[in-house]
Amino acid sequence: MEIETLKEIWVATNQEECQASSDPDILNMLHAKSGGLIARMKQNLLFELIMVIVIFSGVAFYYFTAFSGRLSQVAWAYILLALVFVVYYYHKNKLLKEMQCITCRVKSNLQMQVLKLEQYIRLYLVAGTLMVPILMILFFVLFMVRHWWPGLSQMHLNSSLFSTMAYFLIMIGLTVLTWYINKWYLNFLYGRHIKNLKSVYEEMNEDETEL
Amino acid sequence: MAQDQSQQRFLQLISENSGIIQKVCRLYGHSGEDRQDLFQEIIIQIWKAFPQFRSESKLSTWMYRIALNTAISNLRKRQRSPKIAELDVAPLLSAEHYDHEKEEKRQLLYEAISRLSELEKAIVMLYLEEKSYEEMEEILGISQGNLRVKINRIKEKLRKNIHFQFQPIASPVEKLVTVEKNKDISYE
Repeated sequence: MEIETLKEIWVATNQEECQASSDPDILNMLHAKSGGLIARMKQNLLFELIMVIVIFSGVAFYYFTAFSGRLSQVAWAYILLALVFVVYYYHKNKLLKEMQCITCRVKSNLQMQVLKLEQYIRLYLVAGTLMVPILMILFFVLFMVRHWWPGLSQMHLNSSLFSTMAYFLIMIGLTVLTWYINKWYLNFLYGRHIKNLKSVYEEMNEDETEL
Repeated sequence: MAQDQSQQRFLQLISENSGIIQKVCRLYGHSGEDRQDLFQEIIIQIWKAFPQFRSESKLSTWMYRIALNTAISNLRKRQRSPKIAELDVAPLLSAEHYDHEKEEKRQLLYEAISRLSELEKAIVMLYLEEKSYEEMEEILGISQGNLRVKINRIKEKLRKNIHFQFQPIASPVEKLVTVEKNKDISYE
């Protein structure tokens, strides 16, 4: 069978099959949520933001009111963390907004999507990993301020040196572990997708250099 | 009021061009449900982009871009199936339209296309739709020279795919006859 014959079959097939969908069905679709990857990523991110604000506000409120307000520094630490998360959310959301140009040419849309998705993954990996040492250092400082610095004796200093070193070693270990867990998780979430997009993009460029 | 008018214009646009969306769904959807999801997703994306549509580019070019961008961007969600072409084609046709020979050729065409890569599917669709190289470049962003090279390669692949599918499988009796014939030849 020749290619021209295929063309005839194609035209005939589509003339028969392409009936317009009914208007009410189309209108219903307009009210449905997008099931696309980027839309789902946006929804997840918003959910994450809401959860962080609700939980961190609750914890902050608890530390402001409990223990006669003596642990208010902890509450402020949580507020600070929530603010850092808002900045993180802003950057991630910005990347998601820039990730797709649905009306652009397929090649430029793919290029943009791969680039922005890689930036998104890098931000996720770096922020997700840095969160561990930042949190641990923050709570270490808070602990020092409350318990050790007032009336710190030489004996205390000697005994605390070992525990401080152990604390920081644990912190480094946890940071390295978090890095690998995050890397595995990100690869699990987006690895295949990014590979698919890259392979289509590379195929588009395949013969471009030879021409 | 403005919303209603916009919706009416949108519905008209879709009813006049739903063929574009259906063709993309047929090529990129791997099951009935999958095609339905993709169809809905493309409709949502067109609706979102609709207010920004200016008649600077051809309407069909604009719709092909959205449909293909949506289909290719969502590749992850759908599982690849080797039997893509054996989809429910027949039920789509009314009894009076059903023609076995045509149906066989149709299956053959879709099976051959289903063996192509995601990009090749897009190119072959535009080629079969008799789009000019200029318009194909406008949709895909691939240079016309590169498109020519790729189309020649795809034609060759399709020829091979179709030839492979047409290879008749010999029945056991036919095989036996062939063996016996060969024996006779060797005795001579």
